[in-house]
Amino acid sequence: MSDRIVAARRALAELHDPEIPTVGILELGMLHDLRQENDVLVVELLPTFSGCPAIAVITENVEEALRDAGLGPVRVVTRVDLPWSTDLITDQGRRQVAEFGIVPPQRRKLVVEDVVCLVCHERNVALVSTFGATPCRATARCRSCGEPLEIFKPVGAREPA
Amino acid sequence: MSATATRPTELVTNPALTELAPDLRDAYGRLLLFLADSELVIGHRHSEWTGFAPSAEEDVAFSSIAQDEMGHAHLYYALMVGADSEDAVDALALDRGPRQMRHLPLLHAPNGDWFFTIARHIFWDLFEEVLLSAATASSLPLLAGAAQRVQNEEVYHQEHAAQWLHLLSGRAPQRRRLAAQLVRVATIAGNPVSAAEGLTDLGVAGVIAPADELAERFRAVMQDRLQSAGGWSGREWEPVVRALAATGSGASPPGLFRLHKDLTGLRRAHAGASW
Repeated sequence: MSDRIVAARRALAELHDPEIPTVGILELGMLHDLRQENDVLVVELLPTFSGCPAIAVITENVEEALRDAGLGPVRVVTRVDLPWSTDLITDQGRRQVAEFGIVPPQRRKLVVEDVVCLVCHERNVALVSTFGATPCRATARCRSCGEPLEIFKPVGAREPA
Repeated sequence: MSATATRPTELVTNPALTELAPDLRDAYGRLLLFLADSELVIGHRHSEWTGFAPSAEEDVAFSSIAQDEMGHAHLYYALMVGADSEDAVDALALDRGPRQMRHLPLLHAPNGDWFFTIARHIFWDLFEEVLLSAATASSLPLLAGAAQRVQNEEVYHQEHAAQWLHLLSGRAPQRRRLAAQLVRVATIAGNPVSAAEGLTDLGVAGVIAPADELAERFRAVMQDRLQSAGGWSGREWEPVVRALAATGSGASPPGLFRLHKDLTGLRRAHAGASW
C-alpha cells in the first residue's frame, strides 16, 4: 500500500458521522474503496440510509480532510448502486453507537424482546415505532425504568451462515 | 444537461450507462425516470402528514417514510445522471414542468381521507416490492445493487403497510371502507406494471422479468395479503382484485399542478442556492 493511501486512511479515520458524532465513518463501513487513479485519490463511499442527509456533509468533510492533509487532488464517488448493511458496522462502531445513547443494530432483524436497556440494563423494552427521529432509528421505551430509547434499525442484515 | 429535454435517452448522462444500446438505454432511462418521479411525488404527499397524522407515531412514521422515498428518488435520478452530479440531480428533479413529470398519476392525488392514504401506501409499497424483487435479478448495469439497497430500506415500509392492513381488517365497517379505497386506488392507477414506462420493453429485451409475469405476481400477492389479513370475505376482496386486473380510468386525478408548485417553490424562489 502506498504512503498516500496509508495517510488517507489515517485522515479518514478521524472523521465522524455528523448525526451520531461518537461513531467514525470507517467504523460505519462507509469506505467502499480507496485508490489512486493517475494522480487523483479516489474515495468510494457507501451511503448508509439513502434518505440520510448526512452523506452530503460527509462527502464535503472527506474532500476537506484529504486536501488539508495535502493528499489532493481528490475525487469522492458515492456508490448508490450498492447496498449498505448494518452488518458492515464494526464492533468498535457498535460500541460508539451505544456510547452516543442509541442501541446498536441487532445482527439479523429488529427483535425488541432481545434489546437491553442502555440505562438500567434490563431486557424489558417495548417498541413504540420502527420509525424515529432519523431514517436509521426506531423508537422504543424501557418498561423497567421508563427511559425512552432509540434503536439503530438493522438493514440488509443477513442470516448467519 | 438540458433539463427541458424530454427524451429519456438525452436525460441519461451517467457515463456508466452510455455504453448501452440506444433502445435499451432509452427504456432503462424511462423506467428510472418513472421510479424517480413516482418516489418524489409520493414522498411529497406522505410528508404532508407531518404534524397532521392521526397519532404522534403515525406523524413520525409518515415523515420518515417520506424521507426514505425522497432518498430513493434521489438515488434513481443519480443513476440517470451520475452520483457525483448533485446539480444535475437537482435540475432533473426540480426544473421540469408538471407536464414533464413521468410518475404514476395515482401518487399525486391529494390525501384527504386517511383510508385513501393507507390504501395507496399498501398499493404502492406492494408494487415496489414486486418490482424491486425483479430488479435485484436484472442484468442491467447498476440496477441490481441499487434495487437491493432500496429494498433493504423498504422492508420497514412494507411492515408498516402490513400492520395497517391487519389493523383495519378486524372489523367489518373499517374493512369495507378500506376495500372501497383500495378499489378507488386501483381504478385510478390501472395496472402499475404497464404504467411503469420502459418496464415492458426491458422485459421484452430479456433484462428483467416479463411485464405480464410481474403484473400477475402483483395481483396474486395483493389477493393473498387481503385473504390472510383475516376477516376478508370473497365479496370484500374480489372487487379489489378485479379492479387491479382492469385497465384503470386512464385519467390523471387533479392535484398535480398544486403539488408541483409546492415541490419546486423553494428552488424557484432561490435559484442556484445551496445549503
